[in-house]
Amino acid sequence: MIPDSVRLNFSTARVGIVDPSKFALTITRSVVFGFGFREIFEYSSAPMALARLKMAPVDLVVCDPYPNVSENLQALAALRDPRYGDTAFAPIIVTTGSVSLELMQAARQAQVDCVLAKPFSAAALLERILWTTKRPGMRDADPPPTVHAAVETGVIEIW
Amino acid sequence: MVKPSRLSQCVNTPAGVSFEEAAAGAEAALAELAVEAGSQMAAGVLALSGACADYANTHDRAGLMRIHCIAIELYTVAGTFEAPHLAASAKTLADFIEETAKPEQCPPAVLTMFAQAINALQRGGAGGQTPAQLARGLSLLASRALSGHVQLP
Repeated sequence: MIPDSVRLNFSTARVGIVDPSKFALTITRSVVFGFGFREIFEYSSAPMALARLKMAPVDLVVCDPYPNVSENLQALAALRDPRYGDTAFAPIIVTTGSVSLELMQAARQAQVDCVLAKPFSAAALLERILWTTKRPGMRDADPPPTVHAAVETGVIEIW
Repeated sequence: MVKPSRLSQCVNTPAGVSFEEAAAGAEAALAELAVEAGSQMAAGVLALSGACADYANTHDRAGLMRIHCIAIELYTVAGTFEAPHLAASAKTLADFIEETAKPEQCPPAVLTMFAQAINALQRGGAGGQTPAQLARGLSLLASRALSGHVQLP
């Protein structure tokens, strides 16, 4: 439970959304817009994002790597290169409707911050965003909150 | 090297909103997409029928992956916009494909049954079966097909 005393203002933050599905991009865009993000960049693949982010760094990346999981996770791993400036330190949240052990392992290797299963509720994504704002060492001391999936079949995985 | 995220500067700012307000803002933004989501789900069900019909001819991995892709997208949209039976059925189909993994283990006839049932479910049920019953039936079909207990024509 996030206390009411925590105040959020994302109006100056820049977020990059990666999703091959146009409508899924629209969904995620609407959700982050509702949170208060105003600088929102959309990409259909992580390699495309990679090409653009050198010039326009972001403070948060939300990426669905499916169906080209390997290619997209490689691109996310490359984002951690210092050449990407502030984006190299930006939290990366992977969202997916197809969770598998292989994806979890590959995502961990790509140094993403967490994986959130689709379909997710707005509150679930916001909780994850807040969790990623903590430095890694601090996150260890404060385990991720319980997440309520949007539907019964949803599964949430996180580290 | 660990550097504090610039995003952390957006938390605990004086002019900010509460967690509940931010989440409510996002839910309101999502609600505006409800009509478009309905169209997307209808298009997804149609695309699924087409992909299953194609797979009946090709019976190849590319066709199977296409169906999986559509099922995953349908699951995501239906789950987000509170169509639980459609979401559950699409997820069952995606899981079934992941379990079988290869075209030779994934008979087109079973996928055609999935497509027909999901189509009926989208229309609100068929043959006296409610969407909930159809969704349960698909789950049963998947488990029986995986254990080899389905007689196919």
